[in-house]
Amino acid sequence: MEDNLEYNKELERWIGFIKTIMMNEEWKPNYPREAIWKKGSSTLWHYPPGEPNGRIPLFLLYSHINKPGILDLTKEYSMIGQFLKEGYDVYLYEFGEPSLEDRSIGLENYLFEYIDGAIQQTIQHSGQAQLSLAGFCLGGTLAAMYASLRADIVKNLLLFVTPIDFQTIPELSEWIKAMKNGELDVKPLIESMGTIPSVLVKAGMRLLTSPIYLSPYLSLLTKSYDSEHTYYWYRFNQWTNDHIPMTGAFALDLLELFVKRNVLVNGGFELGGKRIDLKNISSNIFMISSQYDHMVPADISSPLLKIVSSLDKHLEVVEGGHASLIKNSVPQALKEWLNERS
Amino acid sequence: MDEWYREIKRAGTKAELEINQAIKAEINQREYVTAFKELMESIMGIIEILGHVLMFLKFLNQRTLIENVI
Repeated sequence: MEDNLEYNKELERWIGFIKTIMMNEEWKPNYPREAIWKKGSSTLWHYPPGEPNGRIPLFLLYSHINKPGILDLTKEYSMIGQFLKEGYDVYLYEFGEPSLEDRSIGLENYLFEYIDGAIQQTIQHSGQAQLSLAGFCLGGTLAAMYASLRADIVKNLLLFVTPIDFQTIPELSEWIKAMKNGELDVKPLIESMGTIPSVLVKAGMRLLTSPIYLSPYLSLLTKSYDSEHTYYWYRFNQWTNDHIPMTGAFALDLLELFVKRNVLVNGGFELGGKRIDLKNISSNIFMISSQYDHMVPADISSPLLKIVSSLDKHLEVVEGGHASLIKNSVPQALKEWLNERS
Repeated sequence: MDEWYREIKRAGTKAELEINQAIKAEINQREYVTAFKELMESIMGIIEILGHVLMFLKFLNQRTLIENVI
């Protein structure tokens, strides 16, 4: 009898495993949303809460590298869903997939036209004068820069696994050194490509994180008889492989300003006639890093807290890797922190 | 059986981490930077030649067009 049960479970496990890796289902939002503004390939989404709490809205700024689907993976694992339950009006800015025509859109355009445009729309749409700005990964870097320019709008700044000090990437030190001393110049190659295709973005990210990527499949196998688990696994795995192209101008700005000059920790820089200096940030800051994040460990994010003028700043190091803290849930400490300051 | 799969997962993850660290350490060497630079220069050379070929084809195309119009 017991042998039979074990046999059935093994059968279910392997059927579940094969079904999951063969699955091909497009991601869909798990909560109702409406596009309230579009510019180029980007979209500003509004997620209305069931029971509004009357507090200032939350603006989510995701990275240029992946799609923001991880913020709303499944009905259960949804950071957006958690904020909606708390009664916040959630606005999500999605960069979309830039095409070749977008190749000249750089940091200046993104910051002053796209992100600022979306934030102004959010202010208008929500009827509130301020908001909480949450940035994820590279989106956090952009959020920090925006907060340094518009302290009047950004009341709270939430930064999730955000790179600030780009010199502390030890795994690529020789490459960074070669770029800094001019020995390696990728500018002509990027310029001739125009927009870096998603497949190259993915290859670059894999190289930085896990060139060999098999353990997630072993992880799936441990519970592939459980359909709830396999669906969640599928969504997460789909997200990790779903990169978006990057405009050549933005890639060059990243290399020149952050990798070569490390401007954010070296006193700031001029962009579009304005001075971007993190010491001008006076918003309340809640920064989250994850303990096992090999890509953006706390050492890369935390220098921001020493630079800013904010008096109310908090660093929370949670368990998990680069993406797990985003996909799992909103930490209770963050919920309380935000409720008190919104 | 569950424990057996969990054990496989643990061992696999550990091995994967070690291999990945070794790969990254290997890539972070001067020789790879130089090799990449040479590869990039070759690609740029090919792109440049293709650009000239394209320009020549455009010229031929224009000339044929003009001849046909005249």
